[in-house]
Amino acid sequence: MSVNVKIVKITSKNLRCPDYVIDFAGSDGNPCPVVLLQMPNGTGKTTTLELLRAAFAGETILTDPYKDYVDKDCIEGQFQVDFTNNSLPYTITMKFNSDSNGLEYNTTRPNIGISKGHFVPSELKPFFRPDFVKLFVFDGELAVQLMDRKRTNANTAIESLFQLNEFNHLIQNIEAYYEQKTVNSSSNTDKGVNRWKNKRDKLKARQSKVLDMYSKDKDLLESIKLHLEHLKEEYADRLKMNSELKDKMNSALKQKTIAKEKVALYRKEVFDIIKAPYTIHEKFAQEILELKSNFDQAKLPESAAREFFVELATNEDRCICGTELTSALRQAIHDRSINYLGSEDMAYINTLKTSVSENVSPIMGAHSKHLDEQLALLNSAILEEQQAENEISQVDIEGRLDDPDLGKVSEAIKKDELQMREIEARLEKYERNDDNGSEDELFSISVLKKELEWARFKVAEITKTIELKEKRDLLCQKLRAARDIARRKLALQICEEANERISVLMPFNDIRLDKIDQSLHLRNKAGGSEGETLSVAYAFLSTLFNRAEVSLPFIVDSPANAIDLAVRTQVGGFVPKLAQQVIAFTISSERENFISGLKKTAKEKSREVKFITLFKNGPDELVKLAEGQVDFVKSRNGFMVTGESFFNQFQQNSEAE
Amino acid sequence: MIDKALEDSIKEQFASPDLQACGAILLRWLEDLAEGGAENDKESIANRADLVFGAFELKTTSAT
Repeated sequence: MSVNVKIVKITSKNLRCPDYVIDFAGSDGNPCPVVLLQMPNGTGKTTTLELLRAAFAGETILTDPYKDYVDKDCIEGQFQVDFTNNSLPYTITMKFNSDSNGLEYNTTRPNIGISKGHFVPSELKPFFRPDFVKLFVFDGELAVQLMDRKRTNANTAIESLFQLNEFNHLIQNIEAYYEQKTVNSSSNTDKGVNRWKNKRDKLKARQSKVLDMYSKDKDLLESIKLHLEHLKEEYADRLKMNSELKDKMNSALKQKTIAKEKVALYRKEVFDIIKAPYTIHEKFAQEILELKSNFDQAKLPESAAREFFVELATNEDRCICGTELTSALRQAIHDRSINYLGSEDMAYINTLKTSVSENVSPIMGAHSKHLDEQLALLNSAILEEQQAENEISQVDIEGRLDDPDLGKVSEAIKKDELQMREIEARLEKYERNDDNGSEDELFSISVLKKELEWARFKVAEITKTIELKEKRDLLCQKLRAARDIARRKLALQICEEANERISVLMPFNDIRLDKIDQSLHLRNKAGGSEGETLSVAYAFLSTLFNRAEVSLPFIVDSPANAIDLAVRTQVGGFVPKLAQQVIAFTISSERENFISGLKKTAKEKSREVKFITLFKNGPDELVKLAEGQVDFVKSRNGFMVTGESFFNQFQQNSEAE
Repeated sequence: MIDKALEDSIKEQFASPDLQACGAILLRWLEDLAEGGAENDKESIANRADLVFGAFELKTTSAT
């Protein structure tokens, strides 16, 4: 059993009830199963019960936070509850101050010791909530509330005692696991996966088409190249017949090759130069030099980086000047370190300045002069290439005049060369590494491959997420169904068992429970008399406390006061069965018929009954009688007598019952 | 120990032969939670949930 609470002792000092230390130990030293605590009206029964509830549930349960619990002759008062849970000792102390109207809690726990504040072991938290504490430190009003359909006390009691809330805990864990597993997933819907599936399929089709086109173009290019080679051979053979033309052609072709190489070389050089903006226009060079000059004037970068100050404020005991670093100084250094550049920024600025110094000349026109020279060389090479082309065309024209078939071969060569350039342009589109557009417009084979891999990954990822989501939804659905079934079954069983108890308590009364949902519903009745309501509540709570795997003490005020003499014996016989520890606050007028029934059951169940009487000052005869008892304690403002004989003889004339 | 009503309700919901293993893991988890013996850190929860999700046969459940 995870919860087995027993009250060991309660102590009151300087409060509006007599000072006392009530020890609930039985003859064997363990908490006695049944304790009858007789306190006449006006002795502080209500106060004691309120404080007991506040000790367990915390101060929020106090209905009047401004109520002064301290004795009018004192400034400070204290209430303390010593209890065990599974034999482990706990103490909750409440200290009141009437001047400040303050309340301070202290909690003593095993292995931890005393702590300021109200601390409840986690396993007791569901039961030490204000609404639940009123069930076992029984508030008479609760009996009525249990049957109020606007309230949920009955349901709360079942949920807490039978730990139905753990189903919710389980569901929360499953939901948290799903969230954790799918935190990076973009979608968990069928729509999401279908969108990616469509994209994947389109990419797959496009990839297949592009690979096919690529393969065909490559084959075509090879065949054109071969054809072109044959044509060029034929052209050369025909030209051989005229040796003068042949020499002219060879010379022009040689010139063209050399000029082409020059064009490629100078073009590259020009492009390299114009990559640097300061070479394109003098204004750029001036602005870049001004930037460097501004850095120098601003003394950037500084000699110390931000990290230096952070390190100083965090790890050093003293500043570099020797001053001891207080927390205020550390904070100031830390705050101001933000005004300094980080080491990465400093390195970047230094590299920039060095690069400017090494490459940008302050001499006006230096960069444009170099670019102009290279452009002149490029133009000259282009001109040479054109001249060579013209020479080739001229030889070609002369050759055609001499041999008409040479013209046909020349036209065929030009046609092949044009087609070859078109195919090469297409192949370049297939082979490049960048591309954009929709799935149907992509040409790049590598981009298509990457896009397809990504689409496949997304489909797999979302499919897995969807599967997890389906599992989560079904698991949670089944657990919620299990929780609701368990709640319904428990409510039904408790209803039946409680009715059996009611029939024993009130054999000649037909009041019965009809059902339990949020509250208790009476069969064919909206409500009962005070005694009936109380009996039904006892029957319900007794069923709960006896069935659950949770053992809590049951503390009740005047258990038989509102009940007819005729049924008191039954109620008395019922009280020892309510819980494993029952503490009943009584008044003398309740004893009749009640004690006999209680003792009978206690005897049958081998449960010891402890009788305690607590009262403030009374008549001399009463005090004398008390002082004559074996177990008698006199406090500052009251008397406490333990024993059945005194308990039964006690009668205070002033008791207003 | 949890009340028999709780145990029965889980067994009832996970009665299909393919789900009994999953139901048993959940029942044990519920018992540990009720007893206060279940670790509450992320890793322990993930380990338990791994077992639950692994033992949960989606096809059978969806079909039933």
